[in-house]
Amino acid sequence: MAKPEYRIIGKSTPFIDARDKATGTTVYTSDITLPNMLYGKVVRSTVAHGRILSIDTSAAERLPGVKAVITAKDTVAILLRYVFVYCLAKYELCNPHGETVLAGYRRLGAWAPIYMIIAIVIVLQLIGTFLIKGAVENLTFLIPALANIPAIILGLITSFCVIYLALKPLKVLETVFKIFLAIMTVIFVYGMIAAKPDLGAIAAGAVIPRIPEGGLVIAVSLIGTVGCAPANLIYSYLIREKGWQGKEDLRQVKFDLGFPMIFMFILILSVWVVAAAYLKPNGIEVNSSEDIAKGFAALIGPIGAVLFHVGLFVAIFTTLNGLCMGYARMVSDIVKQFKPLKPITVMGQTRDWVFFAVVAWGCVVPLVWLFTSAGFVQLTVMFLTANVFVMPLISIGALIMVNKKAWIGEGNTANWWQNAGLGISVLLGIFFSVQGLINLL
Amino acid sequence: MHHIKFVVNGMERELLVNAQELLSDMLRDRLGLKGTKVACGAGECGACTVLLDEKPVNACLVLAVQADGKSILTIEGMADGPELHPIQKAFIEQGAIQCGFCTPGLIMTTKAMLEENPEPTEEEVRDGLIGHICRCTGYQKIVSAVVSAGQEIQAQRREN
Amino acid sequence: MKTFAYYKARSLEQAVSLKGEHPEAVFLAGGTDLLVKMKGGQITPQSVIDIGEIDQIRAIEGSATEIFIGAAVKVSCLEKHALLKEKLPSLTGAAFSLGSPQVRNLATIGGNICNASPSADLLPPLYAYDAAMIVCGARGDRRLPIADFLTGPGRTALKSDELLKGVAIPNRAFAGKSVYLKHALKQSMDIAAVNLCVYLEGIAPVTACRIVLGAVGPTPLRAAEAEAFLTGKELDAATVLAAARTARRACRPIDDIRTTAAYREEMVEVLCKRGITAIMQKENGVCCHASY
Repeated sequence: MAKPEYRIIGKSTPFIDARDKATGTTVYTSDITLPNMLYGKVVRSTVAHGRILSIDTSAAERLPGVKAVITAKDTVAILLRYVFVYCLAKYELCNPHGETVLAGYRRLGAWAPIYMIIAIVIVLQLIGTFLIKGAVENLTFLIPALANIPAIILGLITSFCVIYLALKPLKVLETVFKIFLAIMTVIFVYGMIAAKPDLGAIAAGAVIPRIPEGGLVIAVSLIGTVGCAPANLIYSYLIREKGWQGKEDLRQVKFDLGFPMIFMFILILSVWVVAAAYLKPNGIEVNSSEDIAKGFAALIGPIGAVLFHVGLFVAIFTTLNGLCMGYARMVSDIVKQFKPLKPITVMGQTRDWVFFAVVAWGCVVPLVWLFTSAGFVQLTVMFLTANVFVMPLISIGALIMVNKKAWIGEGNTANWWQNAGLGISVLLGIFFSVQGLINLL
Repeated sequence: MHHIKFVVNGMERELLVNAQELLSDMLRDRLGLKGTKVACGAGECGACTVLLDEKPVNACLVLAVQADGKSILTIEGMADGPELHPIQKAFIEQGAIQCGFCTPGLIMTTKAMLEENPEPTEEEVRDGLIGHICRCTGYQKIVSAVVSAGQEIQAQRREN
Repeated sequence: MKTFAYYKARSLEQAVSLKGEHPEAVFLAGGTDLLVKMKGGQITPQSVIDIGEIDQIRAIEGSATEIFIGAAVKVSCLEKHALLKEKLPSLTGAAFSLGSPQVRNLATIGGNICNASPSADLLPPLYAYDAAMIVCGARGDRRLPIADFLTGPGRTALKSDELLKGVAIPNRAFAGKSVYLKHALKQSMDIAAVNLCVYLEGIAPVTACRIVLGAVGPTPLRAAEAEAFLTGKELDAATVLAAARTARRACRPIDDIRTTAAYREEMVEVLCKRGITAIMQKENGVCCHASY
């Protein structure tokens, strides 16, 4: 019998892409250029095994053409937040008493929950005010005709919508919002412009980007990013909603938290880079969202401004919604530690009076501040005061809770990276408290 | 800013360049000829080799202004439309290409080498290619490709 | 690279006058040393004067008394030049060992000299051939022996208004035979750990001798004692060994990233022996690479 002729074996087969490589048409990573792209350079230590004492980026940032200098400060914040929220979730899911994180905090002492309530109340006011103001601003830019209507009316309408949707969530609307936010993020990551308030940080709490301008605003944003904010506790509620009950669900939590963390990381980076890429060279100060919308418009045409304002509105709306709901539940739970609350049903939602009160507090009372611009300063001062005392509590409390076997349960105590992350948060919390005190005095 | 005129791959071009612009960057970023690669940037790896007035040079060590009045040949100028140059064919057939990053530079040096010495010995080939670093292939097949290309070019010359 | 101004000189006069206007400027010929330093930030000149295309300094001319090589002559040109290969084979051999073909197509003899690295490839042969440096400046031309031109690692005797015009090698200096040896960590594309040039006229007896050691001192060194020892002697194994050992004593090496002083000293003796032996065997201009 004749031997079969092989087609491939024993034959010389050139690489499938050898021709492209021989003609120089293969595209390697360093051959890719995108419009308005930036170039990054890693600065390495000149000392082997050296310990970095400090990184002074001010000279680099002043150079023409330097768009952004990113250090660990920006990225560590997100990691810390991840660890913090993860630890609280762990407590919520693993503790043998079947209690909530807030009940855990109660173990520190009866005074702890009261502190938390105070903190939440103040934080919610501040956030509520910023967010409603932002929402109204965006609405008026989108529909200029609305500018004729007094701001307070628009605010009221926004608040009403927030409350309505909080109590009677419309699935369709939620999906539309989510899709819109996804589109916005995709656009961002492609190099559009930074927005000033947080974008779409519903589940994991607010992650406020670092803003170049100084003063109180930086302090506020840094406080938020360090991970001591009460907003971190909101996640534990969402866990329950997802139906996660016990230790075996902890693994899911890692993904559930991890994915948004990576996502936020990319978003922060792109937002930062983009903001610096466009705003700085054009001398644009981030004073209002209008400046950013202008940038958007300049980049992709008039539709850009519209897209931006709609997106921002959606982001603000969902944030306010999420935070109000989350905080309301937290306060409600805290109060229930002391005395039971009668269930009240409003618009199909069965909660208690505390819940509804907090929602109103977050969405309606801030409208008062819309009248007085001076109010902002006082508000921020109050916020800082509250945080001076509350931040260390929240982080130290968390550290204690996840390490006490009696509380979190045998075999559930925090491991080295969890303790490390929490420990850093504690130190940062104390640091900012001290800073805050100094600023106030 | 300096106004320069030069010929690249047979085409006359004019450009305004800064003093500190390098020839490698000018070819890649201003003219879009990304086939010339930049790796070490210090004249040691040969990835950026182009022919400047028919001589192989490291484009990363030449200022763009120095190209004024000169003629440049890059990898993009090797093929004749869809018809590959014998050197390109030899590299492909001999398996001298793996990741391909060093390939354009090697091909340019080979072209000049074979023009000066059409039938090099293996030792002469290796001597001629000392300005190139290849991480992937171990050089053996590259040497075969150069020798084979030389033979092919000579054969074509005899036919004509 | 930091921003700089670029000026192109089309004549020596223009080069000198540009330097007068920009005293802090550096001269650019091939750029294979200068651009690397500029990219690395070691040199940040505000102006660069390109002298690579000045015709007066791109020529190689033989005359009744000497060979003149312009400072802007490319090393690849040196390597392949028929007259030089015949008369100055150590120089062309050293040129062949420099860098890579691509580097040689840009680098110039003037650049190699003025960069003044103690391990520069072209220097030992130039020393052995008694080369004179021709310098031109605002106050006119001057000539000085290469040993006076190079004053230390990276330093020359050039004044602030001067540039190197070329080198002149007297005809009497290349009547004999010479070899250039280079020992480096790699077979190619490497800077010499030790390099050496031996020049001999006559073998039995030796009538003239020059032994130049490179990379073992702040500049290339003449092994004067060994040269004196060899002159007038008949070359045999014993004298060669003795000469090599004497030459070893002349070197003043240091430890650096390439290798140690002790190793360099050892290699001076080895290369010296090899070089003299090669000439005894009628070799001329051989460029030997020793390797690990």
